[in-house]
Amino acid sequence: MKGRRWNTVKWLAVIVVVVLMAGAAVWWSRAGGVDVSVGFDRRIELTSQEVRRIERIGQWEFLSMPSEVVADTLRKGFFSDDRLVVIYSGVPRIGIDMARVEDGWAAVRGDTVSLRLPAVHLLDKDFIDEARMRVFYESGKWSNQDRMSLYGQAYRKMLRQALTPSNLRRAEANARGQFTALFRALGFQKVEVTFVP
Amino acid sequence: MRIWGIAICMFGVSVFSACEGRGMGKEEPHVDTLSLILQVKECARLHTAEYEVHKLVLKDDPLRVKGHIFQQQFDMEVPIGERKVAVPIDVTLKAYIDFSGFSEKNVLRSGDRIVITLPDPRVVVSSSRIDHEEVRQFVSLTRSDYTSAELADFTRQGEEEILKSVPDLGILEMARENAAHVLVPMLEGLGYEDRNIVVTFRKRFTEADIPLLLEREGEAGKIGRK
Repeated sequence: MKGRRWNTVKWLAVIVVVVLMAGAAVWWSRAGGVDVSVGFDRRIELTSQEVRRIERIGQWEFLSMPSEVVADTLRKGFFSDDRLVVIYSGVPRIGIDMARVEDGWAAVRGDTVSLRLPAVHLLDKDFIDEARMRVFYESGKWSNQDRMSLYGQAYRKMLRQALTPSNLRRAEANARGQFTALFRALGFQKVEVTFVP
Repeated sequence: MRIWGIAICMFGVSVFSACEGRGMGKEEPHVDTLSLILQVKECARLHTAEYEVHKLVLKDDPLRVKGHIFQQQFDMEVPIGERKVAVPIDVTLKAYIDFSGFSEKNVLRSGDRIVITLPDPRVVVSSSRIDHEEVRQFVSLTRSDYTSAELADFTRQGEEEILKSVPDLGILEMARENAAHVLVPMLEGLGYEDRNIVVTFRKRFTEADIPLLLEREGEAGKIGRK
């Protein structure tokens, strides 16, 4: 009899403890609980920007070559090697800068127009969008000079691939076709295009 | 029981080593550098305005602890050391008019008068460059230097900030004006008089149109469009 009573008391105590814990959990959650996070903010600070150059230009673009180039550098170490591999994106553009045309480049004879244009060339000295570069692999510490030389490696590769004889021929052919279409739209029946080196 | 246990272990080891051996037997080709031209595009674009925008991207990187205890909010900096970087960048923007769809429909001739209606000018990022010689990092001993990947991320954010300000730069307006400066002398050379030449555009643009006129080659969609 005494044992049965003791068992009942024990079970009652367990039920009371469980109910108290459930009540504490509900109260905790309704009061907001505790939430802590630790981390870094990846956003840059708000700063102003400066327009350093505004230029009126007249450049006809006839061929664009969106490119991606991988540039890498290796530094041998005693225990292990350090390596930096970066993917650069850019768009070299080939066309004609109208600042290079001579006076009287367009001569009209009846319904025929003769155009003397400079040879097609690379329009921009800088064509890599360095803000779009992606670091594929990096190990070790790298200096500003290392990153600059990596950019130079990518620039030379992209330039070599863009300024091929076939690309220049293709740009010239497109220039001829586009100027012909333009001047025909302006009412000329015959359009003669000559490229002066 | 012991014999069965040893047998099962030996079977498992043999299966594991067979799978590992298959993966290690073949030598991976070594790719040193890879160059790829995504797509060579023939086009007919007249670039008429160029802007070079300079920005100093700053980043301070403190470790922060934030959250709430019951309904009490907190946000505090953990003093584990400083880590700051300044990255100067230059972004070149060019505005152009696409002549690929230009035809007789864009030209209206009436006697000595000619009216040319041009397509909408568009803005493209021509290039962006980090001034690596002027990049400065200030890192205390308890922190690590900024990696190239982090610097690339900050540069990209800086360029996005510049692109958001394009509506305030006036580049599209200059593109429209300068298109006339390029075409009018050409038409004068063809025999038209200055007062008989009209160069016009399809529509006048508002700030709401700007996201439709920004483009990034090689990416789907338009910059600024959400």
